[in-house]
Amino acid sequence: MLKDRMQKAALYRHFRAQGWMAQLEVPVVTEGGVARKALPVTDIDVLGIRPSPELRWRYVIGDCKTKKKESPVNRVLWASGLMDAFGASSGIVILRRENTTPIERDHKLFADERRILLLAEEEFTEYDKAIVYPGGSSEFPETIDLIEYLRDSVAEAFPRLREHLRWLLSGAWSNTDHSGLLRNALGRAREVRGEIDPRRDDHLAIILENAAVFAVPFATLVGTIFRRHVKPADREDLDEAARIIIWGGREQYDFYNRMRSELVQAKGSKSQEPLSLPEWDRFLELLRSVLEVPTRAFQCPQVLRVASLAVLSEQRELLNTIPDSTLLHVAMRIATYVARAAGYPAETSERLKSVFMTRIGDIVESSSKRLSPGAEQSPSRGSTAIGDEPLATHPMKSDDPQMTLPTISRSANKS
Amino acid sequence: MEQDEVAVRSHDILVSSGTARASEFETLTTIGAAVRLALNLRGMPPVEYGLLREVAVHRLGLQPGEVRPALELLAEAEMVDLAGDNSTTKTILPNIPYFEDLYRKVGEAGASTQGLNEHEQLTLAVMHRLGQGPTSRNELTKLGAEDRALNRILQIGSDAGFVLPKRARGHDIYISPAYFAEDPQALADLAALAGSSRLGRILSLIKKNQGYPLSIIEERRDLGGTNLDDKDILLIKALAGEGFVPPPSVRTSHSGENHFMFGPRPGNTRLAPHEGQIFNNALALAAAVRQGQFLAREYKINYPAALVRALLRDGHLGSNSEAIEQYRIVAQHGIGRLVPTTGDRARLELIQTPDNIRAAKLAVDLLAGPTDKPTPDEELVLAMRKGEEYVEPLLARKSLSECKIVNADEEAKHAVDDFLLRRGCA
Repeated sequence: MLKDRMQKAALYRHFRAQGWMAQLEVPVVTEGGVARKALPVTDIDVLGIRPSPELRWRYVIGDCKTKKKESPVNRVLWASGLMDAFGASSGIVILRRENTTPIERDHKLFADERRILLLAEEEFTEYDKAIVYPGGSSEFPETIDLIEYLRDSVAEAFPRLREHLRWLLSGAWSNTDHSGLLRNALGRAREVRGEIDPRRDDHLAIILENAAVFAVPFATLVGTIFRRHVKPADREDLDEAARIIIWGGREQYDFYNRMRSELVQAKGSKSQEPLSLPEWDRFLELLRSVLEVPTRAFQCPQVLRVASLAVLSEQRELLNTIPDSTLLHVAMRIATYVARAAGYPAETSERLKSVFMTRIGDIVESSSKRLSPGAEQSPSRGSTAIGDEPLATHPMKSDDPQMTLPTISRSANKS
Repeated sequence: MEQDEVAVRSHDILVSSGTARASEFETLTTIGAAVRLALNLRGMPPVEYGLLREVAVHRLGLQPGEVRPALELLAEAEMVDLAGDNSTTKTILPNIPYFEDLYRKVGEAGASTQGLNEHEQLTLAVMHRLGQGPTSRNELTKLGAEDRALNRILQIGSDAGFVLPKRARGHDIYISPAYFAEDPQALADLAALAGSSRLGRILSLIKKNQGYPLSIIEERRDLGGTNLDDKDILLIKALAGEGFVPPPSVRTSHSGENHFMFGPRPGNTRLAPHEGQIFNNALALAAAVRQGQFLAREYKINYPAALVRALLRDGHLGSNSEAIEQYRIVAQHGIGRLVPTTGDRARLELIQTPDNIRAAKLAVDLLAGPTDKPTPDEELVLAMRKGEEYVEPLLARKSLSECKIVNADEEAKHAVDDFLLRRGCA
C-alpha cells in the first residue's frame, strides 16, 4: 500500500518521466486577497506543468488521497474546482480504496467529462506502465528525497535562505501570472545575492532551481512572442514586445515606468533609462536566440531541475539522461543569465557552465564519432518532441548501460 | 577608425584574399577570421571543433592555423564558449549576438588582445578609402604613410587580390573588388577623368538611393536630397553609359523607357559567388518598383520596401492596370508572373523558388537603404544546424588546403637570407 507521501512521489515520477515539469505541495492562494500575509486556501499535492504543441504550458492537478472512505465523486468535484481556480487543463486523482473496492465506472465517466482521470491506487501502476511504456516511471532517476532535502535540510543549514527556498520549491509555482512570476524570480534571486556562495554545491543547486522557476514564464514569453512575431529582425520590435508583455500590458508598463522614473529622480539620479529587467541587453540576446528553437524553451525548466539535483547529489551522470546538446546549451544560458541578473559573485557563471559543458561536449563528440566508419552506436541525440516522449530516457528502453542509472539518494548527514 | 569598421574591413580583406596570405598580417587576419566564423555561427547549436575546422577551411576560406586563434578571440569577446579537456578545445558553444554590434565586439576584443601593426593599420586605411570608390595614387598618398610602406601594401593587395591596380589616362587608379565587382577599367577611367573624390561621392549617393530613375535625377538635379551640379550629372550619365553594365530599364506607354541607377554590384564579401544572377534579378524587381514610385501613371507607390515585403509575405501584389508594363521586366527575369485579372488589370505573383525569395529580400535591402555588412553563407548555416552528414556534401574536400604566400618584401627577403647565412658561424 502506498502512503500519502509515496503516492505523491509516484505521481511526481510519473509526470517527470513524461517530460513534464512537476512540483510538490503547491499552495493555492487567493488572488487579490485582503490579508496582510496571504494564507493558502489549500494546496495541490503534485502540480504537473506540461508543454503543448502550441508553445504554451498546460497545468495538470495531481490529487493524492489515502483516506479510505474518501468519496470519489467528492474528490472529483474538489479537483474540478481546483482546476478552475488554477486554470488547469486536466487533473488526476488517485484514491486508496477500502478493501480495494473498484471505483464505479459511472464515477470515472463523471470524472472524465470534467477532464479528470480518476484512478484507484492499485490501478495506477498499470496505468503508469501503459503511459510510460513499457516499464512505467518507478525507475525514473529523480526522487522527491532530494527536493525535500533542499527544502528542509539546506534551509535549516542556511536560515537566511529558508524563505527563498520555500518560495522556490512551493510558493513560486502557485503564481499563474507568468509576467509577474518572471519579474519575481529575478527579484527574489537578487534579494539573496549576499547569501549565495557559488563554491557550494547546495547553493549552486539553489541557483539552478531559481533558474528553473524563471524558465517557466520565460518559455511562456518565448511562445507568445514567437506566435506574434516569429523571429523579430529588429531589436526595437523585440525590445518593445518583451517590455510590454513582461509588465502585463502597455498601461501597466507606462505606469511602472513613470513611477520608477520619478522615484529614481527623487533619489537624485539623472538616469533616463526606461524600465527593464537587469542585464536587459543580455536578456534580449537570450530571448532572440531561444526564438530560433522555441520548443526547447518548454523543456528547459525540466533540464534545470535535473541539473539542480545532479549538483546536489554530486552525481553529474544524472545529466546523461538528456541527449540534446542544443537543449542543454539553452538551459545553461538561462542559468547564467539568472546568475548575472541576480548579481551573484563573478565566478558563478563559470561554475554553472561547468555543470553543463562536459555533457554537451560528450554529446557532440559521440555524434561526430557515430558518423565515422566503424563507430559504435550510441544514443540518438535527436530532440524530444513536446509532450510526446519522456525527457529522461527510461532505463528499460535501452540496453545501453549509460542509460541505466541508480536511484539517486541523498544522505541525511550531508552538510 | 572605429572598432566595428576594423572588423568589417579585416573580414573583407580576408575574403578577397582567398587563400593568399601576407606575412605582415597577424591580428588583422585573426580579426577577419573571427568575423567570418561569427557570421556563420549565429544561431548554431554546439558544434564539434573538428567539424567546424573542416568547414572553416574548406568552405569559409580560412587556413587551418587560423581557426583556433579566431575562436579564442571570439571567446575573449564572449561570443563563444570553448569546452574541452585541459588546453584542448573539443566543442564550440556559440553565443553570437543578434542585436549587439558583432563587429564592434570583435574589433574591441582584437584591439585589447593584440594591437595592429603599422602595415595592418595602413591596409585598413587604404581599404576604408577604396570602399568609397576607385582612388588615385595621389589620393592614397594623402593618408600620410611612407611611400615604401604604401607601395608594399598596394603590392600585397594586388598579389592577394583585395586591391586591383588599373592604369587610366596616365594615372594609377586602385579599386577594391570587395566593393566594386563590375567594370573596373571603366570605373578607373571615370576616376581619372572626374577625380576620385567626386566619383566616390557620387557612388556613395547612388548607393544610399538605389534605383532612382536617371530621368528624374537629371530633371530635379537632385539625388536623395543632395543637389547635383553639371559635372555630377555628367558623371552619373557616364555610369549608365558605355563601358558599364547597362542599368535596368522599364518601358511604359506613358513614360517611355527609363533607366534606373544602381551602385556597382558588391563583391564577394557581400554576395556569395553564386548570387550574381540573383542580385541582377533583385535589381530588376527594385527598378520596377521605383518605376511605380516615381513614374506611375495613376497608382503611385509610396512605400517601396514595404511593397516588396508584402510580395514576400503574400506571394502576390494587388492588381492594377499599370502592372503589365511596370512588372514586365520582373517576369522576363523569371522572378514573377503576371496574371490577368479583369479588363486590362493584372497582378504580379512571385514564383516561389529559394533564389527568387532571396532576390526579393535583396530588393528590399536595396530599396530600404544600404547595409554594408557581410552576410553569412545561408546554405552552410542550414547544413550545420542539421549536422555533420548535411555538411559533408557542401565541403569540396581536398586532402590539403592550398595557401599562397604573398611575395615577401625584397628587403625582408635579404634580411632572412642574411640570418640564414650567419647560422653556424662562430
